[in-house]
Amino acid sequence: MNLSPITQRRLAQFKANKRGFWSFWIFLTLLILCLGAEFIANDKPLLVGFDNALYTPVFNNYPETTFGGDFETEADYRDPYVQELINAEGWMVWPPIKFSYDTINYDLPQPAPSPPTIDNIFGTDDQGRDVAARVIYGFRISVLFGLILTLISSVIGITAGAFQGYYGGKLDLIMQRVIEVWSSLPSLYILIIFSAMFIPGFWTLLAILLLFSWVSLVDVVRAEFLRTRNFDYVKAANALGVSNLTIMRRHVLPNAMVATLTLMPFILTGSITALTSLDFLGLGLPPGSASLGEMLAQGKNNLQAPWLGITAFVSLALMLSLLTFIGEAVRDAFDPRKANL
Amino acid sequence: MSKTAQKLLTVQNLSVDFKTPERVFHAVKDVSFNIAEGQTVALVGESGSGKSVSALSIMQLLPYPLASHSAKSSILFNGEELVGKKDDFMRHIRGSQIGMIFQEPMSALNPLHTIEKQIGEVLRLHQKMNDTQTSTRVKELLDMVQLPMMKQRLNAYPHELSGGQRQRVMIAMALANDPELLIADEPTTALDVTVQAEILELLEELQQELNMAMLMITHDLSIVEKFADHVCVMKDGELVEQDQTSKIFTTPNHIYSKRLLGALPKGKPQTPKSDAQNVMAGENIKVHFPTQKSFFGKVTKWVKAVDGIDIEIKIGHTLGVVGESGSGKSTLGYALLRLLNGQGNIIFDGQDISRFTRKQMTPLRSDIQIVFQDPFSALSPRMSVASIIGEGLKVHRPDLNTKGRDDLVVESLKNVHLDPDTRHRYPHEFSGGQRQRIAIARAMVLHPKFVVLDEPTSALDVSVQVEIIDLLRELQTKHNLAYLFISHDLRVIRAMAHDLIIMKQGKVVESGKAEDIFQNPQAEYTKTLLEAALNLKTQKAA
Repeated sequence: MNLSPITQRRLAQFKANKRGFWSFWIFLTLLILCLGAEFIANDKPLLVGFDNALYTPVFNNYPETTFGGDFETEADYRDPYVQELINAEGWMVWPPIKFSYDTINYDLPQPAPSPPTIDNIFGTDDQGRDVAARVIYGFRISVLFGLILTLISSVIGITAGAFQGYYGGKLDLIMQRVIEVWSSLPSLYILIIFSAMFIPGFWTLLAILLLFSWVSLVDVVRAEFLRTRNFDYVKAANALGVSNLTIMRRHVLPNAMVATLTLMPFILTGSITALTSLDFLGLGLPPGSASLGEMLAQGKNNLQAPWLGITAFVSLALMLSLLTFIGEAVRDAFDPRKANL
Repeated sequence: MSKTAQKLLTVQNLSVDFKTPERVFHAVKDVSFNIAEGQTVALVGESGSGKSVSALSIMQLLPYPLASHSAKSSILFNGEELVGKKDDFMRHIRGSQIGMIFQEPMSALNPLHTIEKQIGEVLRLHQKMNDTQTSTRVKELLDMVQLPMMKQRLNAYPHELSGGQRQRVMIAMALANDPELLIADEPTTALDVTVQAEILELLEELQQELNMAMLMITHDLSIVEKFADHVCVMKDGELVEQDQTSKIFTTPNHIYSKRLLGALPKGKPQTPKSDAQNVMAGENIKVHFPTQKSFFGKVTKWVKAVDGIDIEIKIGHTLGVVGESGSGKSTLGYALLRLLNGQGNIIFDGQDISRFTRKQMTPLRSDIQIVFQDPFSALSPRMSVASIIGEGLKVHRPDLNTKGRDDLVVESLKNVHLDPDTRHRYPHEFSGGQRQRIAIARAMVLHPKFVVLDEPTSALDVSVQVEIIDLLRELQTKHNLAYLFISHDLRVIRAMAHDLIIMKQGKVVESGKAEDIFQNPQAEYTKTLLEAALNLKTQKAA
């Protein structure tokens, strides 16, 4: 890959921030692991060898009759009867955690929420679901939600900021006032009202949060475009007859990307926190879905079961700290005055 | 000035190293020179040659310990070693025995302090004067720097003064404690030519009056020839030659001195056909910017950047536009290119383009091009040279494929005498002069008929200026181009322009054949300008 010297310098600067650099790798590893959550925490075996044939329950549904059972419904591999059938003529490979986020463990030593055991390493929540499995799935949904929200709001924010900054004048004036009014609305209350009006799901929540999150990048990008549009090389491109859109994309946007990339990790943490707080208030993702916010709420309601609150807190704190550290390193990387290599 | 005068300052084997993250940078290498009492020594060199760093070492004002002197370095001032002295000691020297004038009078004065406070500060510090004494002395100093009208306005702030007035205040500050040595770091570079001459005259007068030694740092050889007794030529941190001014100017020894001295723009513009037709003409061009609006949005105050200018440019001819900063030269250029909207008619190639929309202008853009002053900001740092030059081709020559475009890029680089193999590099890998060549190639690849050259040589070192001017003349003859050449430098204009207009505050002061104006200027302003720039003498306005 042919990197320009300026990019090479930024990479070196990013690596020079040891904390951020390691945070980046830890976060990336966690993210990749959580993307394959089905292979880490599931109530189905990864692989079943039965009667000289291989079955992959994670990907396919097999009726119980496949393994010599009685029902046409999907096999419940946690059922001792099914396990007995399979083990009689074959074998099963289980993931490290034998529960999915919505698997209810009926075999608990004491009423739910039950404390950590060998089966449920972080205990169970108040409905008997495994906390470890729920953290993994919850982490995945939080990060994915955050990433998608950041991406879409960045695209909208950059576009809006770009047009305002490049064209200036009346368009800029009107848009600025609209954004000022818009961002002074009490967003959390409006989010609560909206989530009461719509049936909350992943995409509806995304759309609702998007209403307010796109604003954050507009100012930075606008300022950068305002500054850059008077550069000589932009004037030269104008004199060459290059179209406005091309000038914006080719000559001005690269300048604005520095400010944008610096801000992005912090927008990501903001998005994750927003989702978590809605979940905590019970206005977020539909009941039953894995969510760190919901687990925090459970921890609050079950102070006698500290593993709930502590697990949720630690996983949230870890995720947000990692992202903040990465954000710091990114900021260092783009800081031209920083030269501690 | 007596030749036997005592040595005031002796600089011996001065070296300055700067530590950077990657390596140690030797800014000044083994420099030695002397300044006698009342003598003027000039440090001459191109940008980055270590002139200013040498001067700052005398004041011990470098960012120590990032900067360091070698063990052999020695600076003796009145017999006292200055290298390695603590700040406590240096504070008695700075401002009282050695005064300093900086290049940029706007940033060297504190914008929040009044004139009296700025000048008075050094007096209070070094001579422990009280308020009345300070005030008297400040008035005295203002008389000395020929700012008598400022005596009534001691409470004025720097932004209320003009550039020349600010530089005078700076000089007053530097002279407040009767220093024995005055260090002037490019004292006139940021000023307009007419003001430049006045400031230099003032410095010379004061120097003789106070019998003060002066170290003048400059890249402008005409200043040196007129004012300095002794010249030190610096290149890449080394002092390559030093001698009496007259000797250096008549018989320079070192090859670099010869190049520097031969670098003054010379030559004449080629004679084009006299019956050439107009390619570009402007009638009564006006560009006004609103500065103040009433409550209802009606504009109540305008800045008249260009105020009713008529021009004509013939094929193969160069029209020079001369004026001081803020006279509207560049604005005129942008208006002709329709990069700015103005009033009046602009006739290009027989059609009035002054009402054309952006879309209508696009096909004409390949015929009308521009080259900017600063080659560092005129090229996008994130694009390779090939894509910078090829950008216009993509718009205007959609018939070309990648190969065809590349061929034209190679050809245009050859035309500006650059190695075509360098086209995949990025602008920062090139020097200022090479970058300007790239910018010229970008304009020329489209085969324009008319090119606006907006101070194309002002940001370059003198020796490079000559090369660029030669190149521009060569291209003009080859392609029969019409130029609008904007500059404040009359020597460059003289080497380029066939016709000339002199601008002041958005209006034309004088226009005509360049030869006639240079030989026989009519307007008072033109006379002042010419004399200030070419002879460095000004007649005081009667």
